[in-house]
Amino acid sequence: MMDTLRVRVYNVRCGDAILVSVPDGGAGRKTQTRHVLIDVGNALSREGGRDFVFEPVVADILKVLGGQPLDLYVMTHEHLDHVQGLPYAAWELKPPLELRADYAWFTASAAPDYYDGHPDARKKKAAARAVYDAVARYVAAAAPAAPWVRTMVKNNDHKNTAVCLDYLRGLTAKPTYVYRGCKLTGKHPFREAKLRVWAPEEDTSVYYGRFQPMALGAGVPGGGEAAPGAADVEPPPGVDAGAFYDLVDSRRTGYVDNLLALDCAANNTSVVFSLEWRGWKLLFAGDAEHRSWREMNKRGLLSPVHFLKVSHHGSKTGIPERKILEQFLPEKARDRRRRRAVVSTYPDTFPGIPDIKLVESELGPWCDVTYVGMGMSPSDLYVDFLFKG
Amino acid sequence: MKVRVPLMVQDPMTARYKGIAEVEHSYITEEDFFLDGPVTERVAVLDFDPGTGALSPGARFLPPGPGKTLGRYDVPDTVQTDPPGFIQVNAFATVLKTIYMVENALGRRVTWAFDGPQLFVVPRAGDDANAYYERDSHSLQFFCFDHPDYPGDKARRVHTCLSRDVVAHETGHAILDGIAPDLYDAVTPQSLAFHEALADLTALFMAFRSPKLTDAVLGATGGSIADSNAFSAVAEEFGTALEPAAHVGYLRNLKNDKTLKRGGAARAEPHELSEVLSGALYAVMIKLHEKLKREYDDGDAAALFSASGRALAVGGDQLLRMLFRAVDYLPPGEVSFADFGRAIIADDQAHYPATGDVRKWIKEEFVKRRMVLNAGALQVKTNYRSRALDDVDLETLVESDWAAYDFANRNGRLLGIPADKPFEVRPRLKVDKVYYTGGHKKVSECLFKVSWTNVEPNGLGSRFPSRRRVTVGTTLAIDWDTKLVRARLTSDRRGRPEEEKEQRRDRHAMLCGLVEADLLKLDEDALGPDGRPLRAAVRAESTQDAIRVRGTARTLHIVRGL
Repeated sequence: MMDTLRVRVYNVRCGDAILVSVPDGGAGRKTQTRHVLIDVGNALSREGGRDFVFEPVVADILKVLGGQPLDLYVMTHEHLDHVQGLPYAAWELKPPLELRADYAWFTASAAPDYYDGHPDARKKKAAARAVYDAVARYVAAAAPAAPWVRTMVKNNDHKNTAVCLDYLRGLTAKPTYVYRGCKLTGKHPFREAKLRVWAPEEDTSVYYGRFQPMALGAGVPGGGEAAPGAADVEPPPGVDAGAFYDLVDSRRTGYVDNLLALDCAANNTSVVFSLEWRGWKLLFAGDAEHRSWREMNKRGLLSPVHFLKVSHHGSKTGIPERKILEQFLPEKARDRRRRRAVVSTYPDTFPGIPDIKLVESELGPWCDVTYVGMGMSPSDLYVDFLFKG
Repeated sequence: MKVRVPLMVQDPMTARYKGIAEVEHSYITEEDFFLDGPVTERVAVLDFDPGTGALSPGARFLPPGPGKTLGRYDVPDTVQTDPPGFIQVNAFATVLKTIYMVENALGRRVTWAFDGPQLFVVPRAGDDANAYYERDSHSLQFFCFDHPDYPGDKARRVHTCLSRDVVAHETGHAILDGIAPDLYDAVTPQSLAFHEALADLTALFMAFRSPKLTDAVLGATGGSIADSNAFSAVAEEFGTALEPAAHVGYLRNLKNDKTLKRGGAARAEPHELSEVLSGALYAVMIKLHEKLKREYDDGDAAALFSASGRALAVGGDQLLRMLFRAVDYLPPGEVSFADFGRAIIADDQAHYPATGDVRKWIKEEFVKRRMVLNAGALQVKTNYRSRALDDVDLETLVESDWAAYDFANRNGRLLGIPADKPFEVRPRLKVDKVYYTGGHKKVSECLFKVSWTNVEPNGLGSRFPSRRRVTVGTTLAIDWDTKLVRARLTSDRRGRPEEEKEQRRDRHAMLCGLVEADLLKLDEDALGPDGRPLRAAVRAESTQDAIRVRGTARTLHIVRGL
């Protein structure tokens, strides 16, 4: 295997767990295989978020490592479907399964002091947290919310994420908080393989959209304990009843936009990085969404790759529009090498994930697309992608 | 029946630091019925408790006693003692007084852009520094927030519905949406900026109607509005709350010298861009006030103050009438500042062909602020005969859709409808305007509006169709008695290629901005995962490889969101 790079994409259902094993040598140096683990987590509820998947996955990673620490661990962004797998394995499994890492990369905004130095991002983050807290309280107290809403609320839970993040920081003595343009010298062990961070921007305020004013009743700051159900509110005499109920309904469902905006902002802080090795270029995109792709494109960072970890589990918001996509997946590969894309996904977890029609139309014509998680039995632990050097 | 109502003179903070009265009283007279809430046929206050979401009891209506005609709502005359009750009635009164003010200028009742009789007013919509009109929910939503640096207090709750400016501004949006509904879907920054400017000017005219405020301001300024921000500053309490450190003291100021950056305006934010138009019209207001003041001033220094007050009342009403009648004249579709300028000129010139200081000032301001390249761009032909109207029965034209379509079919050229283009005739209006300057005269008009669709290249990338549909149209204003064409205004710019080029460029830039901000969503992408329309999204509906954009005005909350 010393002449083959392997990308092992684990079947964690709707989540990510990717182990990249890279023969790393260089002039006059002995080649040794280095292992990079990118995220371990899944969606926290419903079939796409079953926890039993983690035990065999973490066990396999430990087996591959053969008692050695990971060379590099990468936490792409602060969403539980990307961070909660390792804490689960350490805290919930008996006996616990624990990893160590020589180096670890975290998205820049996960640094404990990040917001001290980024006032714009701090303002946006504070607004996002206030919105999250209001929505979470409302959904918990009052809303007859759809299952995906509850899943999304759980996934964006910043308090639980912070707990997981604390654990993950402890995987290494050398946590590094990365962003485009940060210095990587001494922040990873690779000599032959070249790593480059394409995203996120250091100032994450660019990734936030607008939050809509919410009129939820319960859950708004200063609000009460619980809101009555829709049936409890009657139109007063003289008021057009149909329009009244439309208004009540509109007030109570307005939070969906904000929940999506929160989710999107966190996804866009994903660490997106490329790994170049012996003529191959692999791109790991986390859950980057359109804003992040546009920033990368604007800054001329995109270049053709041979392997793509499709961002955001194959959603419409994770796949950039064609003019951006063709920067890194042009119609024809100049070197005529085979190109591959992997979508780590599971149906019926979030609406629109995966958007198979879009994946097939946008990626299918240019590369071989593999779905990991979707359509696999629990005993199918992973799919390997091999790149011969 | 008359109902006595309290309404805020300005806002609680401004009243306090300027030392002016907080509340004044007025009368509501034109409603068919009054119920608790308050609720009338056209306006209903729905006071949802911001904490629980439950509907709070509405202010109780006290009808007139036997043999009496004056009713009232059972609330105190100040916000201090019964905040919910006062808040409800103040919002109700301010909304209705704004509606009456505009109806008086238009010479007709306003109608809503939504399908329903009542505009809902939600005075305590939730916790946010915001307020907005929302067509889909038939409502004005006023939010509350904590002022971080309230003069005299460390912090204090700000109710946006207690600001006369904010309430009048949002009511202005609702009224304008009823008159020119296409602007809600407009894709040019100037169209959206026009919405903002008119809403700000509505607030200005409502301020002029406050006897206590005008007395206080004119008293303090020696009878001038030229050197004070008292009227021109929009939403003072709100503005200081948003940027307490900046000490600007308002959200926008109509007293400004802003000009349109030609070629660079496309990307301008509509609120910012609106100040160019509102600034021009406020400058005209200052000139008009000075002119009338001189006319009313008989040389007695002591009488100057009353001359100034009269000039403000008369001049304010005159400009209000000119502006809203121009809104009624606007052609369907997207409008530019130049379109509005032409509409103002048209209405005034149709009635006063010979004279027109205000017209002259408007032309000067529009040229100076680069809204048009030269005064010639504002020229409009008025009061001319068209044979097409000789045999038309205007009553039938207004009442009968069949007659209206038949008229448009036969007179495509007059209306500017391109050959073989499908078109839509809008509901016709009969308006009864009263002109006061130079003697009291009533003029009735039929407003006939027809629209059609132009298609142009889209160029928004692979995710969007390659073409877009843009609504354009024509307004024909017909004198009811003489059947002369008082004015014909069109938003189809085949005859103005430079304007057409500019509009296309602006549309493209604005749509690119919406795509960049992830706000423009195609078809089902504009629906949330629950299948409901996303409130923040601007919808692009596609058919036959072309989009039509819907709901851009939803991005026009009173302040920019985070």
